[in-house]
Amino acid sequence: MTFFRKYKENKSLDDAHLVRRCQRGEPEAMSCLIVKYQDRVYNTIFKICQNRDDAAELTQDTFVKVLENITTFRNESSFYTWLFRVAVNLTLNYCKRRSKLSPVSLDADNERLEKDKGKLAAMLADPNGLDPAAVAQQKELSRLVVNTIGQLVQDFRAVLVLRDIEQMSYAEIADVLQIETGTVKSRLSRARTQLRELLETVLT
Amino acid sequence: MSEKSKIEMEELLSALVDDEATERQKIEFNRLLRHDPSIAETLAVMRRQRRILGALPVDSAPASLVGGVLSRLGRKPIPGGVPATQPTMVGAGHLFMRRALTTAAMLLLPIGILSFVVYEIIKPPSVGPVDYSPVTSGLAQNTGTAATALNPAAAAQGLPFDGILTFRTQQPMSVSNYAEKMIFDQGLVSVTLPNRTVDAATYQITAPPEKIAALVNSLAGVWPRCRQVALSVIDDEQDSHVDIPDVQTEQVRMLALEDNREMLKRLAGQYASANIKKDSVFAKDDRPVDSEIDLVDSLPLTIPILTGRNEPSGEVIDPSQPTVRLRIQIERVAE
Repeated sequence: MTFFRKYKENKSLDDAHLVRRCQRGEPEAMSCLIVKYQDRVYNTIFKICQNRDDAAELTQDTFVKVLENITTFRNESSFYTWLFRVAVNLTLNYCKRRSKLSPVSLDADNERLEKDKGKLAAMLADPNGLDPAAVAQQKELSRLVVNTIGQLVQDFRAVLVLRDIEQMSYAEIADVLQIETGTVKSRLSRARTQLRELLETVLT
Repeated sequence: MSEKSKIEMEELLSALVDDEATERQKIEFNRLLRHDPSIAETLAVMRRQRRILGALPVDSAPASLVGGVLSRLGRKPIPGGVPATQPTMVGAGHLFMRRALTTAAMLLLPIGILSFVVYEIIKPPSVGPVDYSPVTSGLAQNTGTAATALNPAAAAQGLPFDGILTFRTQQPMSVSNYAEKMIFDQGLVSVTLPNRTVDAATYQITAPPEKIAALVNSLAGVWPRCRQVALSVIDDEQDSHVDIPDVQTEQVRMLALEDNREMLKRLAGQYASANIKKDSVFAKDDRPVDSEIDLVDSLPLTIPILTGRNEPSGEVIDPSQPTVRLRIQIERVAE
């Protein structure tokens, strides 16, 4: 029986059950938890840190840290939000260190993406034109959007990614970031405004 | 529009985009919409923006992620896993033991050295029991040429007498001075091993029997000064000894000159018996208490013993002669 067949059989298992098995030290349950969440964690981290290699490493660090401390998890909160809390904290800390060591200049990217913006603007100018979802699926244009997200302030970036990409509720975001729901709304509103301004030429 | 109003407007639109707006917010939006129709345009852009973000492609995590995580976990203790934690505990215990032993060694070694040094400083000087080691070897170590001149073979086949003459007196210093003078006068310094302290002194003399007899004769003046004079005749071969209480000068002389082992033992036994009987018959009060020995005190030795000088006696001991051993022991007795 292959690993993925085992995973499919276990996929229906809820987080609480998998967590209990992990707490008993079952490597198979650990594998199931990793497979279940690895893509979502990886994408969230990548959207925040903007680097695929770093995202891969941070994703691994996240699962290692979570599974090392799995015995301390008490099921009082959602495993899903606990996992994302670890992931976002690791990522934000990493981004802070990176920005101190070598501030990222997006000028080069911006020059290249200015051309893409023009194409995206042309497609989106007509409300009856292409579906925005279809536009987002185009590789170059999605890269443009992702890079634009990367220009947001880190705290705004995290809220925006968790809400608009990961589709978390306000309460879940508040739980992940350990902030008040009102703060989530406020940051989200400002993040959307900043992003709209950055993509203004594209979206209008 | 003020900055505050602008922020409130953005939060209102954000709530509408998320379908999280309250009834009051929806009413407020409709009121604002009547005054500024462009707000609807802004709301539409924000909704489109949210759809784009939600539709961004989802990348797959690297295929090596699961393996990488499990591999890293494998190098660390698996939560709840006994096999992973056990070696860790053993290692910790071993480390603790090593540290404890190192600490103990660091503490005990200096303490041991210090204790040895202190002991060497404060230990009492050795008065010690009789040294029954072969005299020739002792002499060889301590007296240089004269001692090395003694023929070991001759010493080994020496005459049977080997005795300990013990003087118990209240004035060990005076008696010791006197004995040293006599040893010096008899020319026996080079064959004498001295050991002198405040309360006791010993002189181990190995010499031909005639010389020992002459020395004993010269020590006759010591007897009256002592509370008790005893002689132990040692029999090394049988590891035994005969104690002769209140031994007399003449008795010591006779024993020293005896060249037959059996006769010596018999003679020693006879003297011992006789002296014991004498003790029981005669009162000890008949012993003289004072004597001419006081005069000796006024004539201390001017040349310390065994410091190397010419002996007054021109007579040189022939190393090929058979020798006997006499140990003179002077002890203080309480008044």
